[in-house]
Amino acid sequence: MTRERSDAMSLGATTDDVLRTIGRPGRAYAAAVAGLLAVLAVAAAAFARQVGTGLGVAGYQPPILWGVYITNFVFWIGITHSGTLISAVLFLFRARWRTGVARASEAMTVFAIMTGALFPIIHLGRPWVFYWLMPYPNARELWVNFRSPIIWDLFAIMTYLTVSVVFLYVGLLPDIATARDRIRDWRRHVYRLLALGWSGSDREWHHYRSLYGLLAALAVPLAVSVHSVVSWDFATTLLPGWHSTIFGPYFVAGAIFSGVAMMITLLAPMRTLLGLERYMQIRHFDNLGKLLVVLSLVMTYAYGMEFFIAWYSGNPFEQGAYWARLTGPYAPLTWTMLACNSAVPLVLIARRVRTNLPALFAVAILVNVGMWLERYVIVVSSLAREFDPANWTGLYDPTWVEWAITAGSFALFGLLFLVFVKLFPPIAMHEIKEQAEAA
Amino acid sequence: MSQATLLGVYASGEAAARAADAVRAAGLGAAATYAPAADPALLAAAARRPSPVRLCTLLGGLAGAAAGVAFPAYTMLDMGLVVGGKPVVSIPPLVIIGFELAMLGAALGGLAGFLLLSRLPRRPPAAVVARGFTDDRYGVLVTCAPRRRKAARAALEQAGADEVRDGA
Repeated sequence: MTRERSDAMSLGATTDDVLRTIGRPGRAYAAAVAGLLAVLAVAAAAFARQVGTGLGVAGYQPPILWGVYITNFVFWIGITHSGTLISAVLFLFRARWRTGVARASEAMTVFAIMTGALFPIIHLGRPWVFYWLMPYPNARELWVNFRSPIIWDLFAIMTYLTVSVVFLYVGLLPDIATARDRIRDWRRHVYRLLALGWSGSDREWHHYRSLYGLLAALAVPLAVSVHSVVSWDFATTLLPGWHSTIFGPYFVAGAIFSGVAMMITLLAPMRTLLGLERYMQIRHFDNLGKLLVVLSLVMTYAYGMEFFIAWYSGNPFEQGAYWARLTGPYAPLTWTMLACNSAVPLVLIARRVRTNLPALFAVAILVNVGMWLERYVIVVSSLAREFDPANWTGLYDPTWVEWAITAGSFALFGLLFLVFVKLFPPIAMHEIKEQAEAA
Repeated sequence: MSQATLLGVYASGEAAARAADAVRAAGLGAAATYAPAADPALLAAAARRPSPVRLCTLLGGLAGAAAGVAFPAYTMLDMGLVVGGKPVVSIPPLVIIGFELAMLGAALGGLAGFLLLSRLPRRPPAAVVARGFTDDRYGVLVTCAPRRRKAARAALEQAGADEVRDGA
């Protein structure tokens, strides 16, 4: 058999393998979708109750008026960071192993932003007027306050969502065309529409490569800016525990850390359930494990610096807030967070653990838990220890409404991801073919 | 005078690049190539200039940055309220919004440039879709004068075509 003939066969085999994953869903898939829909229905009922009754059904009590919803917002926006960012960085550095994990990660980014962006709206007392955040001329001759970090958030997140969708879609375009030409059921109409008439001509590829490289280059500073802006929601206040110059890089590092953990959480089961072992290899997870442990060390350094700066500042309010985190009513959460984010990932120094998928998956889950707790501790424990000791009253206790909506956010994210992997190729086929040609 | 078209189908990018090179070198006509992935040999054979998508991205970015600075500044001046003791036109928010909109404008400008320059969306040639050039085959579509059809066919076949179709 000539090399040319075997090339064509291997390219065709790649198409077969990847398109097989978007075939008819099995019972396990249907059961997962049904389960997620059920959770989502409970969350919708909880939200309806909150809209009907008011924010009183949440467990807020002064001075803790930011709780689980803002925790979820920061958590989900953090999750977005690894998808587009890692995909773009690996592309710019020509890291060939990205092909196995890039597509699913980029999709994860888009769905995490969509989920996270709901929370500032859910957190509003009157969510139906969320559009007041938009700068538009109105009857009261008012504009939004552009000096507010909340408005910066709106622009940063909407920009990141748009650029991430464009990055994902452009990456998908050649593969959608492949699906259009191969799949014969009702979905071919969708693919025909979305493929825009892509034919794979040299003209298209020429401009495509230019655009994809540029989008990757834009995505990196954008991702860094977005979580920096989110951190300024906190850092531009004067509240002890929030008012810190470290918050920008600290939040960005945390975002990438939690994003890598979520990538592993999604990719490990996806690899097995969709039969993608040939494309998502153990070495890919080994590399993700290395990233996770390095980022864990960065986070440990950031935690250390937070406490060091509080001590070194000589500011009793700052010292008091951090001391309360370690010893006060939220101490169990702080210590659990430190265990999950700083201690547990150290086991990934051992290659044997990184290449053991169940073990890596378990570590990733614990990091997810740890990073959610980190957001909770930053948001809630700082508010609980504001300047006036008279306000240091009791604990913030989230209600079932908040927990249901939180569970609903995970269900929504999972559902969007499940729908995506059954509608679109979860692996970048054209990149695998490009590598096969170059080999 | 109407032009003749020929479509050569290949199993590898190298063979398709050889065919496109041969057609162009002999001046037989215009050769467009099709591939399931960005193939360096085919792109080199096409010898295109650097893509103007870069310029579209730059222009989009500059327009976004200008809008991101000018619009908030306009709203601050229009309202004229002093908030939090800050100047009416505060620089830090302008930098942040300007940066975000620069990124947004650059991405959308690049996308628009890509679509325009690639002539998308459009209906792709039926023969091209049917031959699996988005799957595992490579194609060379030659558009030539009818009198050169025979020579073009020979060039396509000589490069190792699996199949050459007339009137694609």
